[in-house]
Amino acid sequence: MKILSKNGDKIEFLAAPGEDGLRRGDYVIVSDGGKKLLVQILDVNYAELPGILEDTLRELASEPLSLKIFDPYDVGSILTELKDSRLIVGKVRGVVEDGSLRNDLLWLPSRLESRIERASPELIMELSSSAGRRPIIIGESMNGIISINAEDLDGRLTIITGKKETGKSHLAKILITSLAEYGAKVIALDVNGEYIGLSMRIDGALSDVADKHVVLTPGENFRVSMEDAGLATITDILRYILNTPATSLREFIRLWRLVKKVNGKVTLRGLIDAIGRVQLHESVRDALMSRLLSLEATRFFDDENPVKIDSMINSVKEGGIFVINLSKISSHGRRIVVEYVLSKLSTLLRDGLIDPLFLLAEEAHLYLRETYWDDLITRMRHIGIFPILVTNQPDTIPETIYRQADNIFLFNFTNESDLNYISKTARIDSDTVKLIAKALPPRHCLMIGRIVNDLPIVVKVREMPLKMLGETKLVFGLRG
Amino acid sequence: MLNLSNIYKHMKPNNPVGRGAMTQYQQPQINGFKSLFKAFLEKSDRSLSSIKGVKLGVETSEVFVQDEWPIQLVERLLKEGVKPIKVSVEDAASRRVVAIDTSSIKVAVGSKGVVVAIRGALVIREWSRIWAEIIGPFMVYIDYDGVGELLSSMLGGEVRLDYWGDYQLYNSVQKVLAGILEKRLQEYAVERFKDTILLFDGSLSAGPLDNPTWLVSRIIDGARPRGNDILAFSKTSILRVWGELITSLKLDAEPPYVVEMTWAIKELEMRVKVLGETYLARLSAGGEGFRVDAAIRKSIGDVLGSLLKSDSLIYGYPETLILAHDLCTFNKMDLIAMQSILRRRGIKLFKPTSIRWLLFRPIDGGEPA
Repeated sequence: MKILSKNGDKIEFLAAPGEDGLRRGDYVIVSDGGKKLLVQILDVNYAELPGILEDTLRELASEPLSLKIFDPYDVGSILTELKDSRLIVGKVRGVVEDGSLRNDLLWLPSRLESRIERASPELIMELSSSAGRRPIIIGESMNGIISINAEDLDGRLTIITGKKETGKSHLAKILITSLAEYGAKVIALDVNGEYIGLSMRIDGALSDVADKHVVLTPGENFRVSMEDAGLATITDILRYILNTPATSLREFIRLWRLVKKVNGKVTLRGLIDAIGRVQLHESVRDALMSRLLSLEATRFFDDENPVKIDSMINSVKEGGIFVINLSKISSHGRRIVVEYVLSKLSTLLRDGLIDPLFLLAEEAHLYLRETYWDDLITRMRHIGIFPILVTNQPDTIPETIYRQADNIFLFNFTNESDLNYISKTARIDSDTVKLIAKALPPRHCLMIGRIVNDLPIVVKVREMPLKMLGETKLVFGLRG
Repeated sequence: MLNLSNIYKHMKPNNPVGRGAMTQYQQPQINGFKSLFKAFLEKSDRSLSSIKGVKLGVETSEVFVQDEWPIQLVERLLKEGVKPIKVSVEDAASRRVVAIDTSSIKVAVGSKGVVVAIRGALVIREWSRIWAEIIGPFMVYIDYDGVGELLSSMLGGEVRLDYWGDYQLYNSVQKVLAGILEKRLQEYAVERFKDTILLFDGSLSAGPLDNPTWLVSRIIDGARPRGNDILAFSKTSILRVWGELITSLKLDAEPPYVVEMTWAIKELEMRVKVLGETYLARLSAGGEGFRVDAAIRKSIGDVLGSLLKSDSLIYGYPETLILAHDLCTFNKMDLIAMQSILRRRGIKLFKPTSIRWLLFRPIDGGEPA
């Protein structure tokens, strides 16, 4: 392999056909003297050769001919190699000097004298790792084990994205189980019931996180009181989810205070009774009554035997995964539960009643109201909710979220508009996103951001022997 | 050392059309080339070994096709007047057609010699079947001292071509070498095939070093007893001349036809001897006119009739001859591949600003003696 050209951070190599064996995302080192250029491979193409068009046309024209060739100097085999010469396109990630990576793009290694070789996984791990002490093994890359540090997810905004069935949820499970094993608490908003089986291994035995795994099913073992939800949360639910008009909301706030004053505490039944009794405009009464009955129908509110979310979180001492199973409730019900959970967690964190935690939100656009996105990356992060967003529809997450994402696990996307959307992330160039993500096989992802010290790494995500739930139910049984 | 045991590895599988046993002439004859060029291969291999470690320049602006295209032949015809000879296709017999062409290129140039590559191609059309045999490329380092011996070795070492000197080493040697390879392949084809129309590129003029009279005569003499007819087509279209002929002489004929012009050529080509007869041929209505030299047993009308029945024409020129030309012609990719072989053999290549500069101020200080 030889350097052909370098333009900015883009570098091109010429290689013989059998020489490369490289895949998109692999790293090569170009050594010259004491310095080493670290290059990530983005693409492999045929080299543009002088006269190749003429030669190919000639081959094409003589295809019907049976050819017998007496070739004493074996020129033919060299020609075959030449025609298949590779143009390898890479991105310079920096210069390695004294064991550290610098963005010194002005240094040029010698075209003829420099040595080009595959970078070792150890070197890539060394350059990409941070100072953390809690490694999470993600999988394999370049024939070595690749891990990230749990600390690099802490206090960060992380996005896992890729098209369907590429392995996003699988990776999410690796992350949250590892985080829990290190003592972190994770709230998982589970739309498809994929995370409810984490306590079981494939072989039926209990998994390592069985004692940390709590499944909360709204309406069943997860019911809360109106008092615990509080006026602000219930008002938000009425406003944003149940689209209650402003006049009705004002009346509701008045009613809430009235019920509190008269009954000493606020219950859903107490509110419904009050609406039936007090003097209200008929339209307001109807509006409020129908909405409160909707809340009641969710069976999420139980003023008799409510679950105290803070007590439950604090009852698990050494890390826990609290899966809120949203798979069994309606779209409205999901949004009501999430509104409650986020609002409650914010209050508890602000009041110092619980420790900071991770929030895994899969397909969050299905249940997260628009005004919460900005909250997630500003206010909630400050008070100690660190989101891990998982989606197969990247454009459902606002552009600002990508710009501010600290970490991205990018799985395969083939659609250009999806890739264009993701390439807006500030932590990587769009060429890398577009060329590498398009070619990623299933279960492979490109890790971007702080988790890899801004050195993008393609990794084959490791297997995890946990029981898989939430798989698509099929008419004809198992695929393949 | 050159390994001759593995030189057929790029053979493509034969694509037989139709069924039935092949005649002995249809059998691949590639193995024959090994012995045919044994002396030359040994000599050329030694010549390349002798320049290991030597620095040679590579030209950047190479002309990749070397053809001799004589065109000033028939002015005299306008003065004398000629009659066209009609070519009849309907009654003509179908025959095997074999076209032969060679090409050459300078691969690298030093202050004392030059590395030249030559390649030949035979295209054989036998009724519905067509196949090609490509011979080479051969690479050889030629300097003043070894040139005669090398040229002789191309002819099997039987004749010493030691009257070198009329040709400039750098300008003509590749053409001479390709010419001799072509003659060698022509002779080989004459001996290998029977009752065949052999199509050569160029003319049957003899005289210069690359076209020795004795060799051209030997080829023509060898063809006749085996029932072979030789037609040599000049690649150069003489459309302009035809235009003038048709206008001035009012040739009242529809193609295909030929005009006999041996007498004119014999007067014009003073330094060379024309073996056979020379014609101006216009073989298709839409096609152009070409010079055709013929060494044939039958009438020119019969032989061209058989050719038209057996081979296709592209703009009035035989398709097999075009294919042979295409298959032997070098392009840039070939040049890169051959220069790569020189590097592997320890020869250092560099790109001088010009070959003239190289000759008079070689940066390597001249090659070792």
